[in-house]
Amino acid sequence: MRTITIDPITRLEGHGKITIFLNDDGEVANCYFQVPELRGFEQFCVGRPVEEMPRITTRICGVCPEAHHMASVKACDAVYHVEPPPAAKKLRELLYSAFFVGDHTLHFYALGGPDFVVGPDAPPAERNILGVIRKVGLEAGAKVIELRKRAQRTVALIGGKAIHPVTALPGGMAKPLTREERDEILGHTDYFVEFAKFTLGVIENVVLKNPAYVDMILSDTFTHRTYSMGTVDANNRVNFYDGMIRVVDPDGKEFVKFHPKDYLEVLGEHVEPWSYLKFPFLKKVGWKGFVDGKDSGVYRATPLSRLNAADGMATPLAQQEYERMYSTLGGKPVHHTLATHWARVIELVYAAERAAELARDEEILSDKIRNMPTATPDEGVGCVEAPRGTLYHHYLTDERGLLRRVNLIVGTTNNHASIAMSIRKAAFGLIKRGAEITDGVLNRIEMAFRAYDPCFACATHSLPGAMPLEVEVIDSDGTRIAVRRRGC
Amino acid sequence: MEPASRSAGEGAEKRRNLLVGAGNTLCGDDGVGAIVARRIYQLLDNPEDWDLEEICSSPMEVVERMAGYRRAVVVDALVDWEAPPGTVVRATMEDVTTDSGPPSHAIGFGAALGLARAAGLPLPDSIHFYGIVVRGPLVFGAGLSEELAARVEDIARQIADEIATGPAAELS
Repeated sequence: MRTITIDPITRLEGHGKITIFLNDDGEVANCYFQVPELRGFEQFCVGRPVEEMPRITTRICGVCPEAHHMASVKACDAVYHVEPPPAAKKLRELLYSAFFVGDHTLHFYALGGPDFVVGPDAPPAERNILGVIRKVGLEAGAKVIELRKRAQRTVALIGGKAIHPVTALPGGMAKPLTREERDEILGHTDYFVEFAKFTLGVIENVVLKNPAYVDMILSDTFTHRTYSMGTVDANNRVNFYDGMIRVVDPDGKEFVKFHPKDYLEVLGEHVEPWSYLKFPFLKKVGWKGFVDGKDSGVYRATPLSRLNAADGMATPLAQQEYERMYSTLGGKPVHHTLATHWARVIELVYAAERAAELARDEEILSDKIRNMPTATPDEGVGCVEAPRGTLYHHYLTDERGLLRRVNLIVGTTNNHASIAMSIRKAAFGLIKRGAEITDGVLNRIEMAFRAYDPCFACATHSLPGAMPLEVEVIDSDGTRIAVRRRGC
Repeated sequence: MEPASRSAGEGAEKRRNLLVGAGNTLCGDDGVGAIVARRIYQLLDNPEDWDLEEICSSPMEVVERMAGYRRAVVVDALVDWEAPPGTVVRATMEDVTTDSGPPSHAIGFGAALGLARAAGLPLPDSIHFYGIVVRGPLVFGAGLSEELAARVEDIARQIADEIATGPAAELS
């Protein structure tokens, strides 16, 4: 009987594939991670008016359109050499914080959480958000739905639409926030903060109180000592919307701090014959292969990396949790890949607190929300921290503002090399000679991948936000001896 | 650029039926669900009883939009290398499962439906899916391939007819 997989809006030609090759002794000889690429988004944009980009680029991905909207409009600001008024910046950041709250929530409860809350060896049919709800309590599901509703409502009030916002324009915003809208948002942001506290409780009670999970987080199998990248404010605290890009070395010492417009001076891109997607690295260190350490230019740009790259969080509860995480995990920086889930929850707390702070700022009600662009457009870079890493939009136009060149580096692309390394190390650590390769083993290898919250729809500029994944094990005769597939 | 959505927004719970056109209209044939849904909406005998939503996002958003409606019809692109482009595949919510384990990035439709049920979201009594087979690789660009564009009218009439009289009509 032929099976047709039906999953609306989840379709991507080809699969992401993790292939593990074994040697004659049944041990891992090599491991590769490959993703398909649908090229052409940048070319598709050439010739279009640059001011259309904040709306076009939201269609790259159905999961993080707000990140593309913001990076794109900031690139447009730079192209037109115009600085948005303070109220416009605050409106953008409030919208963006609400988006972050919703996005990180979905990842923790639906994508990363099942491995810890339900357990890595649970049957696949139970290892999902429904399993999480069964374990944490039915009210958790209602809270997640309510949180997402309020986050989307906040985005819609500021951005005009809940999923593909449209109101950020070169030089500012298209519409001010009314007092009635702001008052409604205050209720939503207070809920964000309460929900974030609830989620801290879940981390504490379900994950951190389970010694087996803590051992897994701290294990060498899931550890890589790489450089860490993230955006910081003037006080070197984490910021998602604006700031300088800071990179710290594996010991936590500042390696470079640069303006996003200078990203090409800092980042190089390595190409491998077995992957369509490039591997960014730090130029000054150089590409030394898929290895970690101070001498390797491999860096990570993840929630954990952002916390490593910063000196702290800009809001009180997030700062408290930031300190607790480093104290629990042995000090800063932390290189345990699975700790990224905890870092993501700390960022959720920060986004919630920051949203509440911005909503209470009276300046956000100002009707001065746009400085009209008057300069001749030329070139600009816009950058934000997307939930899964630093996102760059780089546009070059002619004097009429028509695009001549477009370059995007998305969050997941930054992490391509480290994702490949994490999968490889997990495979080497978990597959042992003579031992059965169970679904639990393959799932643990996939956990190394899932911690990054990878978005290859964005990275390959392909389709909205989902990727079928296949993990296969090939023995020394070339026979496929184990395989695991999932649809999304 | 913006889809021609007609919805009651926050007042959606007052309406009875939801027609979802799923897909990215900037991704060639991936947008066939949205394009066919627009035409179905024009063909409906009682468009005043329907809301049309074009959604290019994750299944979770699709499910969240359905809340409060009595009936939903989703039209989407479907990759099936063994069927000719333009083939229409039908399914209901009973066909959706959650057995694939945690995804890497976007929650699947089965899990989204399960979460919504667990959270007490008022889901439609009836959800019908229409998958229209497309050929990959999908490419960036507006408009459908000639092969598929030629089928839009037939497919839309077929689904509109089923909505009015066929398997998807039980709640009309």
